[in-house]
Amino acid sequence: MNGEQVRESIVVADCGRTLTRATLVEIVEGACRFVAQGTSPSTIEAPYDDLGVGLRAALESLEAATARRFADRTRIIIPQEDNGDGTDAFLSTVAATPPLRVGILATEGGGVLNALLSIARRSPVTVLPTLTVEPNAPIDEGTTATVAALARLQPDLLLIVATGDAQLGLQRLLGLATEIVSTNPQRDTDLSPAILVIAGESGRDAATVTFGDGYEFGFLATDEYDPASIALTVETEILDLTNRRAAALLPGFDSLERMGAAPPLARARAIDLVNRFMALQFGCEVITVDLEEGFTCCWAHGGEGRALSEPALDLALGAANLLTALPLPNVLRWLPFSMSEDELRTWILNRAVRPFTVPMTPRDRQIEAGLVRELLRTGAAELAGGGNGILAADLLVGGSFFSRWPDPADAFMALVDGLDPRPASGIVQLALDRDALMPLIGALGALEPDHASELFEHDSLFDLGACVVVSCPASEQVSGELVYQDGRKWNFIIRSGEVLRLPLRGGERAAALRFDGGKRLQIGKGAPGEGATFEGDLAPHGGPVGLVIDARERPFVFPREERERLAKVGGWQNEFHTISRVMPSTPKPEGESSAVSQAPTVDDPAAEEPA
Amino acid sequence: MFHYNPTRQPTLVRENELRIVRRLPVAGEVHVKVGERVEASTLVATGMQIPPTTFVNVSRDLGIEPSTAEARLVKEVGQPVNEGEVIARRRRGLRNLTVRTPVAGTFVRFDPLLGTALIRPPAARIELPAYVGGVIEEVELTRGVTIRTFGSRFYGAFGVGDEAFGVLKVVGGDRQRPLGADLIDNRAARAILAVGGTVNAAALNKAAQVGVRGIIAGSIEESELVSWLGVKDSALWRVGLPSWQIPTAEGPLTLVITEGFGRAAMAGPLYDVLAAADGMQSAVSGLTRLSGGLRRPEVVVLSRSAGRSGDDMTLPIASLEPGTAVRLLDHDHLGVLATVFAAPRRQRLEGDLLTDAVTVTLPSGEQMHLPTANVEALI
Repeated sequence: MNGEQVRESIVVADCGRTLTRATLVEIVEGACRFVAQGTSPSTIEAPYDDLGVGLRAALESLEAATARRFADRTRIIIPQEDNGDGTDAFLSTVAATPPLRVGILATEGGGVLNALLSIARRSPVTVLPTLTVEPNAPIDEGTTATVAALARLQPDLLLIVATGDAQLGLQRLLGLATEIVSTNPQRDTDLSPAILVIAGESGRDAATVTFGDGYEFGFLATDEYDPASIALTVETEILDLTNRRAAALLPGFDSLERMGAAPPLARARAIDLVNRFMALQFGCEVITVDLEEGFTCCWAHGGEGRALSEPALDLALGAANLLTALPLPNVLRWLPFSMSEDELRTWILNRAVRPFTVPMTPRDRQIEAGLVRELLRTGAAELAGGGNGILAADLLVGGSFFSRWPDPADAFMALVDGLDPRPASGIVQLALDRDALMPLIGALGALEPDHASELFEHDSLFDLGACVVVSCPASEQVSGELVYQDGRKWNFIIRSGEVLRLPLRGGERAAALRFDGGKRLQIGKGAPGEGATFEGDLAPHGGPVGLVIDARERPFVFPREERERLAKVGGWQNEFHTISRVMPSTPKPEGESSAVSQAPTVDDPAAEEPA
Repeated sequence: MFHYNPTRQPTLVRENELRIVRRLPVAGEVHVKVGERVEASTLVATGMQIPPTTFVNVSRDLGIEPSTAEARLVKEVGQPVNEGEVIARRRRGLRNLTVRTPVAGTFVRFDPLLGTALIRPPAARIELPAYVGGVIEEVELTRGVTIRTFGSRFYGAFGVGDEAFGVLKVVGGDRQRPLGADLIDNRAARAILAVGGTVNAAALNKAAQVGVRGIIAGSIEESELVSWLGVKDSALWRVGLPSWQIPTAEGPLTLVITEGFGRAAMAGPLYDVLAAADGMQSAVSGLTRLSGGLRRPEVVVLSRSAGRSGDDMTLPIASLEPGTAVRLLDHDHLGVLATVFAAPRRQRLEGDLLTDAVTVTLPSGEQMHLPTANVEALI
């Protein structure tokens, strides 16, 4: 197809280790829209050992859904034929490739190293311990131990960064790198590690002599590029190497590459691209998280963006890694029932050995949600630049993983608890990528940015509702009114520590949301005691969860006494899962929930909406 | 269909012709011919594997520049070295600094640029036993063989250890009974023990002490497993670094767990197969790898009969057709047996979850809709 032809029909495959999706998007009435999706379990492991088998099954599923043909025995039918069969282009995102293990050896912790670490964290790779050495200092025990650990972990890619005293530092790093790759125990593949040296031009010869023969070797001269350019080049190299390794190790991947109008894009990278797009499009701070095919956590604001990708950490194949990644007592504190740490370990290990199971009981879902909360908290802390950083997101987007819980309030609550947003305005909107369209929109953006934008606008996000995070001292209460578009009003009062859920339908924006002033009560970054009013474009819009007013103390406090903890966490669960309907005539006595709301005086269709 | 197992067969294949593929990791020599009868212990192939070279940083250990390290060598390139032997020496004040090789082998190279010595250990002989008794059906030149035998085979949830074989001894006499140390004595030496219930660290230690080769059990508590393996490292369950094998530690004998972690009893059909084969030859493998070459622990028990002529010996293919016996896998139903009532189809389950789901009938008669990922074809 030449550049002038219009691509009206595009099939995008999303190939994961667990699931393969084939999604059809087409131009409908002048805009690119989601048409249908077919899915199949992935087949990269025995007994199939071929990515293509699962892809063909997903395409067959798509064909069954659309009553059209998209592939014959050996290839995707391109371009679309007159009878509707075929497609104008084929694209893919991939999370099925084994994550590259990347080790970084550096002589100093300067700009290049920091930029590389940021790039490595957002790439679909497993970042191994980073080794930094002083060029003139003797090798200490810590360095020796790290070298041994790196050798044991068998890096697929070694990044060697010598930007200070280039000659001396580089010599030392090359020696350590040789030790790491030479003492490799039995590698699980025959592929030698790739070596990328980043140093002054004067170090090129030494690096080439050491690794130029027998390794995939590259050299980046720091004399010519700034840290940001070097990091971006390294990112491209990482993504290319991931695809090259996948082509060598993953049967069926090469045909995926051949059929595509663009190289397969890493799923986590595609999600990051869409997250950045949203931040620009909506002019706000956005966080997107997903736990399908690894843990992906992206933050963006304006032109700035950070991301975290942990391809070997999730609640499926990477479940066993939860045992080392999370402090389990922190997970247990979120559960509205008592459970021992041993029981939780058993739950996680049983998930690890049967990784594709879907929780079927409320108890199982609560355990999943507890794990998700803590994973999100670790991701948010990392994105915020440390344990004390706070993200001020105005929009939280949950990936397709969150669709597996039947009650959208569960996803809503996990996102709020886990990411703990403190938006400047006070209001955070929440949405789900229910049909897993974000990866494909990211891939589509590379080929047809306008189509990607249209698809995003029309079909991507499923609104859950909005949450107002109120900082309310213990001695005060939150009061105000929610005004609907038809003029009805809903007055509310809640105490510090409580949560109130009000109906606000999907597609409906409130006419106004007003908070009364107080003494020290604070909405977002507004002045304490001033209250707040949200009207017009600033007013919240709804979803199946509606509008949640969250006056719980931050950071979250959990009683040490188990019965009190159960009462508190159980109370939160009830409040999040119950839409306020009736206003008691007087506040309840001390000790009981005082959350009250003034129902609209006319019949309220919103209140009839099921949760 | 989701596959938790590395073949297309259901988790349990009963009383059937089995083909066991035995393959060397490197090219070698096959010692048997097509049609030859072999015992489990028969060496079917051998090979020589060269271990990776070991690196010794001489300049660092002597505290000198790489360019001057070569002068401190006391061994020459090409010479054999023993484990712990000095390969370089330097006098520093009153002290005599030495560099020793951590492995035996040949000193193959010195790199003056980096000050490093490379030691290549001698090649190690790999011996590949038949693993099960049977008849050699196929020989793959220099690599291995396929053995045809008759019996039953099932996969476990996870395991520990490599391959082992021996006479199967079912102990406890009850599917629910845990395996305690009191059930193990010297008569279990060289046997494969099977128990329906859980197993604890004391029993595993006793078993290793008396020379039991393998244990098959329904479940195990993680704390017991950790105690038995003697591992406190939190990396025991880390996957993906560098492989997806769990657990990362090896044990003194092979362990196969059929249901999972906790205290669940073995699924009835699996226990029945073991009970029926009590006293027969059996083979077990504990290797469990979740990804990057899926492997599940495996149990093979040979049958008392060799099959009757006219029997259909076609290996069954796992499916979720109506009538198939399945095992439920999600945590709250783990180990529950059921029968498929309606084959999988794409449907919306509770809430809005759109997934491939199957309808099963529980022993109580109750019907459940479950994602296909939550069941496995058991038989």
